[in-house]
Amino acid sequence: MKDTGELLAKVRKIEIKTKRMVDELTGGAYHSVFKGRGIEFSEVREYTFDDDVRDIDWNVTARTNVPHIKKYSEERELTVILAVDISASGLFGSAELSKREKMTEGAALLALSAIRNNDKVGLLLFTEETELYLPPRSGRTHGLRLIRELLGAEGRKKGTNIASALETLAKVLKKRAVIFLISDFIDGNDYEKTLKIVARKHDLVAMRVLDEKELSLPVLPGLELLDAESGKSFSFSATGKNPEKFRIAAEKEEREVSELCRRSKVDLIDVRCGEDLVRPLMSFFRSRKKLAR
Amino acid sequence: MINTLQHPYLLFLLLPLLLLFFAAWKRRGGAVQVSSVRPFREAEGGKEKFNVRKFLPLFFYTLCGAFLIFGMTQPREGLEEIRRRTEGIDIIIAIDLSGSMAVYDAPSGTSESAVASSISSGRLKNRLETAKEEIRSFIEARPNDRIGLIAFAPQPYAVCPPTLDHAFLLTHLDELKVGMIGDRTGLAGPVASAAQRLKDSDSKRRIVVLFTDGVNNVQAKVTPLQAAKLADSVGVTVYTVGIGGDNSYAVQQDLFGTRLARVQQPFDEDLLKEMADSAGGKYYHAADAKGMKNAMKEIDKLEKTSVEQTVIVNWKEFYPVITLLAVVFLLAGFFLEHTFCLRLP
Repeated sequence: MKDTGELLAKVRKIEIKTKRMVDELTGGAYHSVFKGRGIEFSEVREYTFDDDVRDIDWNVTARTNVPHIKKYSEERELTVILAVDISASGLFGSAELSKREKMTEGAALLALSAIRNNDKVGLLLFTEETELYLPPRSGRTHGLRLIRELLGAEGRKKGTNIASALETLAKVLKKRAVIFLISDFIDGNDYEKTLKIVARKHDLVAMRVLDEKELSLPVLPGLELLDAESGKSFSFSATGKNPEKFRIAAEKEEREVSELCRRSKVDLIDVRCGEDLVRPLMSFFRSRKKLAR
Repeated sequence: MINTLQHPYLLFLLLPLLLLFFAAWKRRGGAVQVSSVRPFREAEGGKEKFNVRKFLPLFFYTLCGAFLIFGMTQPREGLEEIRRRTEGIDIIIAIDLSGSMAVYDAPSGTSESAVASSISSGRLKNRLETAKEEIRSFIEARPNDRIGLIAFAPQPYAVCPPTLDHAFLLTHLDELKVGMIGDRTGLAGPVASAAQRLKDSDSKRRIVVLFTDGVNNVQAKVTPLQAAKLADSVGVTVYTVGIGGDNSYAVQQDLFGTRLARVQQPFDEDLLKEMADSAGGKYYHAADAKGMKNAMKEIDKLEKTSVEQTVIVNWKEFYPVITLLAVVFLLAGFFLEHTFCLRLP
């Protein structure tokens, strides 16, 4: 993360790695799910024989005495915002990749898919505060820049504040955008209201990255724990019913986030650290497609 | 039990130990960084609990340290105390072992049959035994004085030089028997010999207590009076105790068995008085056991000892036990830390 060469190598690696996934995703799935908002007027030109007579714009024809047609084009160019949580809690990981790395991978995949589709992609990195905002732009160079920023990001703060990140986006984005909120959703603050407000205006998709071990822990006698975000330590003794209780508590917290998303009409993509990224994304796109029909 | 710490100032080490304990208690060891401790906290009931796993081994280690420090202070128990005056006095007791010391002195006016029954029942003791008893209590009452013992008959025998080891003295006192070293009585010998012994002593006060029941009937080169003067010249005070009353009986064994014979043997009271006078002491007459007791009490009173000092000579050390305990605590702490109180990472 410190060395530029190393960083670039990583960017390239992640680009290659995600390329296959991008191909899979952009083979229709991505494109059709995020449609442009209707059609927009593009030009008025003279009628040729190939054109449909229904397209003739009679006003212009009457004014000029030459038949003209009005041309519309599909408004395709989407704005995709990736809001990525780079709080300290992302450093946890029991599998090959930590949550943070998985999030980076997910974000990179989405960014490259969007770029492939000629969409504009913006990036927001946040912790307790907004750490970085890159306005949406298109182009491969920009895509790679995003990935570089994702890989090299180091938050000044450690905590998580989803509400403040969403508020920032709401302020910055004038037009409707697709927002991918990529986080582990471990946030002590209440962000339901903001989530609802932003979800109403934008197409908000939550991507939750969790590690299996956060939900159930192996049997250990006593465990010294350190909260990554608050820095508080806690000693947990996994005796008796405690591990079971922990599992229940963790699942409850997970369920609460899921329910919150459902209430706020935000689509939730659940990703596990040790698992494949494409499958949950594909199933998400498929379900979206069904809904769109 | 433990009553002395040889190096009590080492107990101050407990203070840094305590600090060490708190530092270790506050110190954050390795920990697994998790995204959030919230679910863990919830699983444990929502509140921070006292970390027994961390505390217990630490407690045992600290206990081990405390015991080591305690052991270093050398706790011990004094088993034998000797109270010693800054300036003790030297006493030599000279006791007559001539044959006449076997005579029984009854209080005057006691009938012969009463005397016989008291002797057989053991209530009445002969002169030597009575003297021994009184000397014994005298010695026991003066633990800080160096006391020596000379037995004499025709010749003096030094049983024990002046010593603080009164136990040794008392065993030797017990072993004295009538007629051990002859039947006659020489009064000059013991006084001169005692004076000789006490001459070089560095004690302030040096006294001789002479117990006798007989007349000086050994003609030595030195007369008893000369011996007393000699003693006086080297700063030795002589007390004389004349034993024997007007109602004395000797036990005689012959063909017809045991019988009592009245003894009419006066002792040379004038000589004893003169000896005491010339050597700065006093003469006491002990007609019977009661008189003997009074005489000893008087001498004891006259020779009062001064300030006492306690010196403990024999120690029972406790550090091995304490060190062992420390090791046990160390092992216990180690054992707990790696089994029941195992913490990860």
